[in-house]
Amino acid sequence: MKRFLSVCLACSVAAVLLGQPADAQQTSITWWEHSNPPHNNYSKELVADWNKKNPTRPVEYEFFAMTPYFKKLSAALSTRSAADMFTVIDTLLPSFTTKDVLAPIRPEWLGYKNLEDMKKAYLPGALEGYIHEGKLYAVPMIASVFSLYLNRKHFREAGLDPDKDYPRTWEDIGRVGQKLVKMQGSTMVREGFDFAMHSSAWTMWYMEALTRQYGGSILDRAGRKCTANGEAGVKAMQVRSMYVHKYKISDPTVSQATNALPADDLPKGRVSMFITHAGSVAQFGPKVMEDMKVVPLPQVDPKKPISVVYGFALAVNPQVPEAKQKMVHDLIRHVVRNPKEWYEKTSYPYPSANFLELPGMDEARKTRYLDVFVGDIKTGTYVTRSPYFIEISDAMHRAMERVVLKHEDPKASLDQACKEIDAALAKP
Amino acid sequence: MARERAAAARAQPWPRWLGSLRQAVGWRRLSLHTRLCWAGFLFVLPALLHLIAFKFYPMLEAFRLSFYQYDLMSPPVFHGLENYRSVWNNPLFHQSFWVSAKYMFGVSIPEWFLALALALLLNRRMPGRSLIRLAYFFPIAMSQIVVALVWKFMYNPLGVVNTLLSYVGVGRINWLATEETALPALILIGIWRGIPLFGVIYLAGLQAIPKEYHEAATVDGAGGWQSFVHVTIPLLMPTILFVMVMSLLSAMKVFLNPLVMTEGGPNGTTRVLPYFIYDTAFAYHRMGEAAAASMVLFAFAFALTLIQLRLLRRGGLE
Repeated sequence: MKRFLSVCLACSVAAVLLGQPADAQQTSITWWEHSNPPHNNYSKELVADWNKKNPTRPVEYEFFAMTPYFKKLSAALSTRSAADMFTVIDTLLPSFTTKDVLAPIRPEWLGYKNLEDMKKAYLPGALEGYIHEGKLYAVPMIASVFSLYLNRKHFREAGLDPDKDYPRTWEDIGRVGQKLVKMQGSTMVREGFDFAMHSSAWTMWYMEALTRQYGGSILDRAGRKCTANGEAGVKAMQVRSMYVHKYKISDPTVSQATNALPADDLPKGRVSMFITHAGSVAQFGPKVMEDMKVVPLPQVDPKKPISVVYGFALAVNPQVPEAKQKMVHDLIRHVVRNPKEWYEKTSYPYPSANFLELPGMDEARKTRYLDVFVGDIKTGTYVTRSPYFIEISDAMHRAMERVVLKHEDPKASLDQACKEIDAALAKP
Repeated sequence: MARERAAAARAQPWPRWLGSLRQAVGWRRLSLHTRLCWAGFLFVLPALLHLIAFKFYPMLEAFRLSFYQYDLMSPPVFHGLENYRSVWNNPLFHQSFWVSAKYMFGVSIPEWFLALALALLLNRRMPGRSLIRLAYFFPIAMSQIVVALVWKFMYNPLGVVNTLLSYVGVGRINWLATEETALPALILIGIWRGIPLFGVIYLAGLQAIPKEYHEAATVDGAGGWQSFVHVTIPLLMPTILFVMVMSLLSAMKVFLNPLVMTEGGPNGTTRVLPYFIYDTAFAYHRMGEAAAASMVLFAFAFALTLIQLRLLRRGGLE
């Protein structure tokens, strides 16, 4: 028996000793992202390139549909089963950072002296959405805005010049839209303009931009009280619904857009003007983009442009050992190493300071409306920062649905939304 | 050689280690009745362990969690009855409860009658009966996610449903994005999917009724309707009550169709209670409140089942 036990012990020790170097040789890194076809394809290319150069540190890449992805991520972080590196959207940063589920980014591991040095390499304010109590928690790879896309063909058909007659203000959209809308009897077969209705996040981006342009905000400065039912918010909601009720250029029954392809009505010709993000350029493809034109986000006052930016960034799982966190930082450097290639493959502007001056960008500025997107980014700030962002955006979305679909009074609907938001904010 | 092996197996039909175990527990000293009880228990044990690990333990854990404040990412903190109070004061919870109730009865009541009608139809002699039964059972065999996606396309403003309705002069309706139509649209899918399943259960019940009863009723001068009311229905009552319980419980748990097709909208009109629980837990990170809401759902289901069991007992059908 003793001999048997000795043999077992010797085998175990040998296995441990032999096994250790093997583990050290092969350490895989897991990376999760949200779904976005051009973006995911480029990420796969980056992973293939990394795996070729780092056979002992292969990356296992997975992506998931956006809304379930962030729920999965929260659950995985709580059960310590999240990926080593994952993509986060800026709006969810506060709910993660306040719960300490993200590892602080070490600028020195990314080749910068410190955070201030890193900030200089990015567009002004680009890192602000990812900083909490002086520490950076994610490295942005996308800075995006919502700009107005219009169908040039439809404009010409309606006797409009897309280069001169494009809308500058929200009221312009109504007037121009009335020339673009197409009816068959009493049925609208082509909308002049449409706001996306599919998700509360999009509703929040639209409502934030409109409310800010009218001089208001969704929450007070401290982030503890809803102010969306103020004068600015009510005006914003009136704009949000006036294309359906006042101008009659929008009809929610025409849209066939889905969560995966929210802007799909535009390339299919079901709508003539639509507000979407920069990534739509790659999603539509060059053939469709021949008929499109992108112009800045319409304004209440075009002399004082205000827009809303959002972004996706790479974060590190704090539950992995420090050595692996360093490895993940190497992977981040690999992913964000080429802003020009990033842009060419995904159409999302990369928020580096010298982005527009990169060689070869002149062509993109002319043909892919890069100037328009970067212009809107420069006039934009991140949306409301709150750990309760999803509850806030859900309440605003329901308010919008009541006004647009049920013709409810904007003030009454926003009062109800604020009641729901205040109840959420009051919770511990 | 084979004979020797067979003889050895007869002498000791179980592995050696089990023999030692039998000796250790004093198996031989037990009466035959006790041994049979233990053998039965051992057969049931794997299923019981599965139930404990994957049903009862999570239920108990959810009950415990309903007294804690837990955001999935920080450690749980004891919160007393605060989650129940918060859920009770939440208008969205009340809205979801009523949406669930409307969905549950909207789906179940038509199912009881339509499934019975289908079963009666399929119980008749007709050419290609097996093929027709198979065709009706097909929706059950389809993946629920596929069903949800196919119906989503059908309900599209330019989809099949609107195209068909346009032939009878009905204007375009955005079924899933209009408050008045979104829930009825989901209810219709629930009915469509439930009828074949409950139809098959009714069919089994109908086929278990001896033909002699109907023959005797015919001899006594009963017509088709009288035979149905006085013979078929009373003998089918246990099946009917089973279908009632099962259809209500399955409709109460609906989750996937609202998730895939409407995400609870528009304006919460399709946010059923399970969807509310899911959102509260994983979108708002309020696990304690979600657990409290799931306890309310459990209590509702439990009460409903008790009422139905009472009905069963009163009818002497248990």
